[in-house]
Amino acid sequence: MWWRSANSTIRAAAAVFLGLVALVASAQPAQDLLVNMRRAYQEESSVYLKRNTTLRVQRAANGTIAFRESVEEELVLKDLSGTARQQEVHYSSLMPLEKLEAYTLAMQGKGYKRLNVDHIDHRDQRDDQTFHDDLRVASFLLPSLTAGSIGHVAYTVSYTDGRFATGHFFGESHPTEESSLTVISDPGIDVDVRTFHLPDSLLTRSETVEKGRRVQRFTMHKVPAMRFESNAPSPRYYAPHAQLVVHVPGENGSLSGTERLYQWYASLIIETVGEPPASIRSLSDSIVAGVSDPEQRATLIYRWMQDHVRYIAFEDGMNGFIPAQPEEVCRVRYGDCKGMSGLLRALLRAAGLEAHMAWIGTRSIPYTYSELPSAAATNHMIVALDIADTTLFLDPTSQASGFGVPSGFIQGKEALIAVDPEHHRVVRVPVMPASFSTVLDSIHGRLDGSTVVGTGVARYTGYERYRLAEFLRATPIAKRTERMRAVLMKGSNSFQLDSCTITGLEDRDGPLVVHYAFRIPDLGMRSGTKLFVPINLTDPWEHLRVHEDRKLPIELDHRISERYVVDLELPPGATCTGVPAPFAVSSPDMDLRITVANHGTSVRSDATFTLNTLMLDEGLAEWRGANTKLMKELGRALVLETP
Amino acid sequence: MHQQTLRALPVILAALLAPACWAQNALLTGYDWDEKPTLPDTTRLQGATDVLLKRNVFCEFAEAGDQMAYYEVFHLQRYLHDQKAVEENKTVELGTGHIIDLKSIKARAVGPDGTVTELGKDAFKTRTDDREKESSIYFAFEGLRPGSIIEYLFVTQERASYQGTSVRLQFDVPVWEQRYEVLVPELWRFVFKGYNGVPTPDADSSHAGVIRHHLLMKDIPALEGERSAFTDVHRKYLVQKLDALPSKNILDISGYGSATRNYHSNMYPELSSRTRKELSARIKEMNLGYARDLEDRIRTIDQHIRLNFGLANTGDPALMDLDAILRTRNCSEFGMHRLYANIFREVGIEHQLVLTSDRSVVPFDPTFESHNYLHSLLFYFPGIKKYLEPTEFDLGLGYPAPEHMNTNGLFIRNVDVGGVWGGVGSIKPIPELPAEATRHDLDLKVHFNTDVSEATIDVKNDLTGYYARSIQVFYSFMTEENRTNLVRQLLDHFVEEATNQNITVENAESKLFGVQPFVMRGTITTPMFTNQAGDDVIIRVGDLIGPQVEMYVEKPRKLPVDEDYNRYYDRRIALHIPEGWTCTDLAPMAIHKTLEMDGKVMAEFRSSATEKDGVITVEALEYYRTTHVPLEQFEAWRSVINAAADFNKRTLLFSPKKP
Repeated sequence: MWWRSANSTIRAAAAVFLGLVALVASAQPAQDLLVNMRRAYQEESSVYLKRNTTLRVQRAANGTIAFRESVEEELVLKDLSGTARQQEVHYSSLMPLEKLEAYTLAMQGKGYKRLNVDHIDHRDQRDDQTFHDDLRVASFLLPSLTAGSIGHVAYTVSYTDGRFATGHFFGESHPTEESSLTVISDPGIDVDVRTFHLPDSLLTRSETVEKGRRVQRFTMHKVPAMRFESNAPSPRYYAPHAQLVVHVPGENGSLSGTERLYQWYASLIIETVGEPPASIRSLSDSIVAGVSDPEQRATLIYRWMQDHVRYIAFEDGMNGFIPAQPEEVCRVRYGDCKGMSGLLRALLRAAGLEAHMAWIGTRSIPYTYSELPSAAATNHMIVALDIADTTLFLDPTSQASGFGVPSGFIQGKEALIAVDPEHHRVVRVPVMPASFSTVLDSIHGRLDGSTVVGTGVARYTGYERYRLAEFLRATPIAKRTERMRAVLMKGSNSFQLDSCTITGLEDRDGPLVVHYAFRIPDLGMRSGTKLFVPINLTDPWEHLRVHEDRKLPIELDHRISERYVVDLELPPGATCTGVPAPFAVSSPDMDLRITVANHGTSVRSDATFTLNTLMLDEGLAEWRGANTKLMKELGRALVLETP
Repeated sequence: MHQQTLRALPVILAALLAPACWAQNALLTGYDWDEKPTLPDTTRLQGATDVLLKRNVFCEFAEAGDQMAYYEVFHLQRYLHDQKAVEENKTVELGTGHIIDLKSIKARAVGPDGTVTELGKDAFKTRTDDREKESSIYFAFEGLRPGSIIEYLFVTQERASYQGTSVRLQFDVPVWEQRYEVLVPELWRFVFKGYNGVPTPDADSSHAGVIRHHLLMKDIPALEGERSAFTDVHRKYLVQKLDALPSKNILDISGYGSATRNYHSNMYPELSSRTRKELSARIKEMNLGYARDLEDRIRTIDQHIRLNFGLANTGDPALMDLDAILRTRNCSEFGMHRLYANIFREVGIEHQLVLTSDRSVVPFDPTFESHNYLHSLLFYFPGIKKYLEPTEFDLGLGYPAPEHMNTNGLFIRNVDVGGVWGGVGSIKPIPELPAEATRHDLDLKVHFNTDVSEATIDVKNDLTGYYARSIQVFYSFMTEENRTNLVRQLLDHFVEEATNQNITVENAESKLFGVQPFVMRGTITTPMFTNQAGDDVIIRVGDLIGPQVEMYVEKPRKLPVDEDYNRYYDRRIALHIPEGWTCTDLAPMAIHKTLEMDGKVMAEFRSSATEKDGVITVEALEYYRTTHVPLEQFEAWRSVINAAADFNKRTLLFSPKKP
């Protein structure tokens, strides 16, 4: 991920707090404030009294600059529990730190005593996703931050280009009494504040002109603490926040926001999208030699990229926005998403194919370009290939993807395609259907005492194939059987994988198939002449089981269809006295069917689990009900009468 | 050992610490990589895909007058056979926090065809950190593909660590050849101890002015980790130290006599009257007069410091200064130790400082005095025979970090001789806690509805010691929502889909850790405990003890078992058979496995079931009374572990009574 601006909003909102202490201190005696806030926010460890962001967008010689002033104030409601909380302010060369002031107002008598922070450490930020960037962190400790004290931090960062300025999240990890965003813009600068998940009833808006500048204010009161739940989407999907669209002076006002965004973006890749140089042409020719079919030529080039060029991200300064030259990426055999996309585009065009670079926001960013035509809407780059009346979305950073299949994390998102310096297209990346990503795991087993012994074949396609292939590639060959045990485990954790053979690992477009032999000791339970054996041995939705008070949606990696077939041979002379009735639950988001058939000498269970959505949201309650019923259904056992 | 310790070294030795800089020995400066690297003989790989072909480390302690410098040459050559190895090694990041001067660095990739691509200067990026902890230099190799070699070589001047260092010589990838050399001035007595088969380096005095201690090792196999094992402990390593400067009559430089003096004097600095006044004011706030006994006094002090002082890991030296700590209420780890020690001293609580190492990495060696074993501090209270590790906030009195038990330590006893406050050191064992100190006890009473489709369970779930770690100490600091989630997670551990939850917790206070168990008590209802099987119903009794660790699949074991702490489980489940139903076979509940060592049962799983008056009582007892199991008894230990996992799957059958 190379586009930082969207993240910086959350970082800025989450990492720093500061406040307007004088107002608070004069309003109520310290003890009264503590008592009142504890009463209002029982069991919370702290409350933000104020979280204010002021953005000043100003004219500059080359367009705009902006300043972000943050003031946050946090009242501590509970004492420490051992570890001091380190405060952090993030900045970079594109967002330098201009000012930082921090102190604690420690309770003293009926008032406060000011204790200044006198030691601030600065360091380069470490980011597992990015090899090299220039993000910096200022960190410090507020002194005497015990119950009743108020932490106060104020900082200002500037933006060398006003278009990088990001907005404000009104909530935080603790409740907030008052949260505001103020945007002050010079005459002639159009700053469009777009709000998300902010019902008018909760928000106070105002717009005035002060000293010739346009002033827009957005204020919320009593903002609850931001929620976080497992498998939930990014807070951008549900948390109240505002983002900015800054238009620089001189832009053609008749253009749409997306058109203006494209004009800016196109200027950043102008050096990359020229005609492919001779060395790239030569390489492209060698890759596609003897192949004339356009799709096959594109496939070969995409494969070459996946096999020979590795993902290493450089995000320092404008390198976070301007791609490395294709020749350089080719020489060093690594690049980030934009560098790899630049090389892939060049190789494809050298092969006579209509390939374009394209900006996209991954699924962690919910906005469409019309909703937010700004840098905060994008954080990734891919290649759009126009071929045979369709557009394919090729992500060169994905080593496992099949040709023409978008990365799972950009499904359904809009791509801003750079057709030429003046023209662009916005095209939505398809969401791959459940039938694309499948698991078919079928076993044939027999009972040896209470142990089920057998063989199985598991077949994986689509994103399921990609995921497993990446897992296997990262696993030493000698350890594959050991690690595959967890993948294929069924019945109980007694499951033993005696052997497994993997085929199709190298063919990214075909299925990955695993043939295996297994044992499940103690699966059956004997009572007299009866033998009880569970017949449905896999519970693929176990990790998606949620409690009834869950509030946030469940985000899924991809749509998927899984089918598990168990063919159980009965012991000689044994009969099955009955099988569970068919079980089915269906909704637009999901489909679940289990049938069990008694064939006399064997019993066959066939279970299909289909998820038709990337987000379980409106249907969450229905989902929960179905998944709970499923758990009970999976517990049913066959009753076998044995001689 | 904290850096402060070094301040009180003898004058001449302290002067040696001043980093000096002058020409390195030619043995170091003359070292370089081969101009044309040789590609490896891949027939030697034997399945390995990532091999350290060469790993050479050359160190030099140089002395001029009363100053000292330390230089190091590090050279690594690594063969990457496949895509996985390439992907994992395409970039390198080297920590530089300990480096005073990076004199040179170079790196290159060698393709399978012999093509050499050396990185330019711009390829080396740096990460800086005011705290000097996370600073690093990093780079990406160019043109890598399977079959490539990566190679880098750097020369540094570093802060000298001469009173004890451990040197790793075995890794999770094979090493075909490695050299380790230490050059020291010829009058130095530098000593080594090798572990896990590492020989003592040879001493070569043929170079003027220096002794060259050198070691050459070839074909060192990879030693990979195993579950329940302290793998690092079993890898080859070397500990080295400067023992003496006989010509200057400075002896026992790295011994525990000097360590005791230095540590003690740093821990208890001369307090100014102002500091003493501040400390007294703080102590007064603790209301120690209300404490019942010595243990209660210690707990009261511990609680007060936890709630009023915060531990921080920044570079600010003020965090070690008692005056600043009392003012800002923030402290470093050493600062927090100082705060505790001086409060204990002020209030007259007899205590000892205990210095030790992490036994899961480099266990304290009582036969080789070296400061690398003195990394962690515990307080020991002889009056109650308990330990306290102040910075382990999720634990409390009586429960040090598990890696600091079942090992040895340097115990520093305070003495006051004629008004002079000093310390006397001795090496003693730090015993591990008994199994009963860490318990997870379950008392469940299960009632069923008439068709046995649903169970109502009265739950009492007790957690003690390390099982209550984090939970009991932090519960009162959580929000209501987080508390609910925590209780739910604990319940989910043994009952799925519990509804009508009516659970209360007891003893959920930080100060009760180690005194009372953390208790969850209440009633829940679940349909998931029973499975329909024709007319009968299967009762999933085993599920009720929660998922157990299994070791069903185990490759031939190479390492002995080492675990963090001993533990004890007592589970009692009362199943009330509903009217009209019967359960005839209780045999599935019976499991019994033991581990015996030296004629004593050191681990056991024993479960059984009995019926009386329509109530089936299932008991499952499990304990582990040793954290170390030799390799030859691994199978017996594994059988106990797996017995608990087997119990998980055990069920009972309820059948309708026949008319």
